[in-house]
Amino acid sequence: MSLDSRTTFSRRRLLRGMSATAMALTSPIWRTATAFGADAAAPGPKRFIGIFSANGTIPSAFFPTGTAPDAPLTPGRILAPLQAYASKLLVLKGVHMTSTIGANKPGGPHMKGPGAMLTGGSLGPGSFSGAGGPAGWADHRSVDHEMAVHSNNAIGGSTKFPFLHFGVRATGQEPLRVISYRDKDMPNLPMQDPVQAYKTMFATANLSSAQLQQLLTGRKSIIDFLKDDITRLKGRIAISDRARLDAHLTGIAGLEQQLTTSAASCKTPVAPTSLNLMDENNYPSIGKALTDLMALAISCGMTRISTFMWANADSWQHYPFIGVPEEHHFTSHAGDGDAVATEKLIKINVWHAQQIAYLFDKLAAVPDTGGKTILDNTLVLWGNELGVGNNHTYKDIPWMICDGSGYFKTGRYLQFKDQNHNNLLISLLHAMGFEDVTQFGYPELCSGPLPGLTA
Amino acid sequence: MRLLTKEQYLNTVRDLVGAVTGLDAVFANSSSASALGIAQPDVGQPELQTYQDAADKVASTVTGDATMMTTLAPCATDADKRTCARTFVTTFGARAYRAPVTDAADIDRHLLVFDVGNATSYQYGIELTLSAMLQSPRFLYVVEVGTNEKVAADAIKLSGYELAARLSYGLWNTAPDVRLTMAAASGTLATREGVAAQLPWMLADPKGQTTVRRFVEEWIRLTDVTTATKDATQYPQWDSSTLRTSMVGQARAFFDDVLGGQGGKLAALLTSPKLFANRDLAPYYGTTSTATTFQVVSPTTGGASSSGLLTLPALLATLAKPDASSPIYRGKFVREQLLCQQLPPPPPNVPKPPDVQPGVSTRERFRQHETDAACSTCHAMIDPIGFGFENYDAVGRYRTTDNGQPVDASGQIIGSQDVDGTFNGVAELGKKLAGSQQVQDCVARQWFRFMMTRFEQDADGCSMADVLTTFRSADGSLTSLPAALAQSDAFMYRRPLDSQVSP
Repeated sequence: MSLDSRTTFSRRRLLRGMSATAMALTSPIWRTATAFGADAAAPGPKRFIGIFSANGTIPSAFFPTGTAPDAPLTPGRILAPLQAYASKLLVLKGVHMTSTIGANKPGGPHMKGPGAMLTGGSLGPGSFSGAGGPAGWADHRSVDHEMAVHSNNAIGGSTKFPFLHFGVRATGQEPLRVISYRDKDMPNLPMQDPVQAYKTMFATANLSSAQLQQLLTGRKSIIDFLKDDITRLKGRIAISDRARLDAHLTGIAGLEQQLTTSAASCKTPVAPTSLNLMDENNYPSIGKALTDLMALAISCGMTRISTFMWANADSWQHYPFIGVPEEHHFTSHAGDGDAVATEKLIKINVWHAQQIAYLFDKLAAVPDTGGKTILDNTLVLWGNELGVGNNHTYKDIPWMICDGSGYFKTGRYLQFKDQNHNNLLISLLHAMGFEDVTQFGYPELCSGPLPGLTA
Repeated sequence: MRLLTKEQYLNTVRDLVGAVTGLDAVFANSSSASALGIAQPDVGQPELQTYQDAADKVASTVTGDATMMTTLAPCATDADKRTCARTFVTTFGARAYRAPVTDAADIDRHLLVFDVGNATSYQYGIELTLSAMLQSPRFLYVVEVGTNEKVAADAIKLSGYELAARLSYGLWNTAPDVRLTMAAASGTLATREGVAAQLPWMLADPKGQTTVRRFVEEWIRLTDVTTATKDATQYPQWDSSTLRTSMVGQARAFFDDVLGGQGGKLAALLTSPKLFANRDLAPYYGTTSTATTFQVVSPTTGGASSSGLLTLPALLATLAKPDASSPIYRGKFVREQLLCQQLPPPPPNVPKPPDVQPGVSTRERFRQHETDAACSTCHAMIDPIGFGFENYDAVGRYRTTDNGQPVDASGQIIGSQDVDGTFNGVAELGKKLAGSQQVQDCVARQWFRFMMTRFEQDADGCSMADVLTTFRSADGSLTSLPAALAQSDAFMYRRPLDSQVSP
């Protein structure tokens, strides 16, 4: 596969620059970053995006009508903006976040949701207050992270960034604004500032090859120094601290991967404008800027694993730009009979579906191998911290999956009878090629992948 | 091995090289630590990315600033660059790693990094070396190796440099300075007396003058109020004014007064009726002001109910719901932060308490906790204490009616060691707590956690007892705590490195 119009500087040019140095940047540390090539023939999605939005849904507008357990998908009002992608979608009802329920589970219902959504666990004890706290971080690894590191980093190890996490105005106490966890108590906080995210992703974008060479050589010498430093230190410290240094060393190896892995087909976009992140009215523009960056990173092979949070759980965002000047969380507590509030909540959810449609449009516009588009080969999960805001139910979370790879049999609305979302997370891991996974999150809540999902 | 907190990192860099503009912005995306910074997740790639960015920023700032370069890594035009770099590694390294850098192989490792950059220029060589040193675990963690000298089966002596770091991070939240490092080098810190001798000047130093106040702030999580959410309809001033910042400022003015002018007694902290206000907070006390700074006010409302930190608006607004007071949060605060009694988390599927509705007081809404047996076991420990705060609304303002009903601020403590009984209002609660040995014991524990950045363990029992004895004989003076703990075994020693328990 030749480097296409997305290329700014070629890999050859990079290598030429590097060869002038004494560094040996040969395989295996120099790896191609794109999904092109060896794995092109393998079936199934190759990338994953987990999307979060807050405060539950309006079930009657999210779930299609009908009671058949397996029916063709006719999107309801909330999913109507995604009509064009209906054939690639699965809408699931009856899949509950049971893991948040049980004796001695710290945290309020809003607080527990984001920590459970992708982990199949719940929050541990801790001192984060607010939203029914106190509680700590989630007690399990999240599914996006598992995808990145499973089978010796089979997915995450091949790209410049093993994962990239984004969030739009995800504020408040920490557990409310994280859905991705490396492990128990180890959150992957989202990047919230488009300018900062751009700097992280395209740190070397505007360098000449000589400058780039200098930077890489310098970084490499520091990383070697640090690895040596850790090895020397490890022998001298308390046994109980050694595991911490191991984690530190693993992180250093990740930095090395970032350094030595090309994202050669990533064309540097125009830098995003600086936006006041504290200003609620910037919610749409921050969201669009971050969506653009994520879509690019996924499309050009900079990363294959991402998550995206639309605000924090318990979101206090106002939506004056769609005629809903009220606060989301407050509005979500209105009773079922409150038609005015219900209409406003539908509007908020429709707006988020529109933003996801915008993401899909971007991903669908980029061709991938085998006549597929990037969207086709990207598994997307859209979830929420609650089923419904006004009763804080953990049942019937509004799950939506998008998969155009053919792994799942899509274009359907499936109604399950009380499945734990742990099984959904197992299904996602299988879709990404990790069919050895039989449990995820709390083992006692797992019975295997959701039945009837695959083609 | 303790990771520097964000504040410690920023303070340490400031002391090592000077001001680095925009450095704190590099940490904007990092998570805040738990209470007192005790719980520390492992460092992974996202954090290391932040440390890399921060180190690069510091290094490029230093090498781009002629004055900083002259101070930190001077090199005459005709001097041997590698010799200059060697001097930089040993002098800056001793400060950054908080221990002398003397091992020849270790110094040479640093110079390998320097050589890579020196191929371009001396400045770039220093830039790379400095960046590497600031990413080293020896800088990012406070590492304790200890000495070979065992003082007991499960305790070894720390080196002077390690004790200096304990003192400086414990009291100043930053690295040891020259004077403290010299005390370490001379062996002065090898004895309790030598350590004790550092306390007076360290606490008189500008970095130490706010130590005890910083403790009180972290203990009650003062700055949480700046991120608290309030109902915009009921409290429109919450988001639109400087109220929250003023609440923090008011608390600090009060703490400074108690710790300075009032002699630093715990009893005063809990009971002093002295009120400070500026233009944002004057209306809380029925007065007006145009000042932005904090002055003592004579309240026309609520004055008799005032009781030190217990009635600070910053605390009471944090311990409240967006649209109502929270007897639960407030009772839990007293139980956990002042009595050091941990409560179990709530059971699953707790029904939401009835919504705020006109004509029903908060106290009335929580009646179910008394009548429902599933609730009452735990809530009898919580709510009756919290009810004592009912004279204060969701933003910490004094009130005599709640939703049209007269406030009933009668309360009760059960299950304590020495403060059981009924009381009416916060002022009476404050007096009870101020006379309690359990509260004194709890504050001493909190101080231990603050200064040691860890929880107390069984092995710390004797040290805790010593601290408590000193604290009591000083009539509960908070300013006696630093010296009391600094001379304890827990501070002077650590467990051997082959112990499975840290530290």
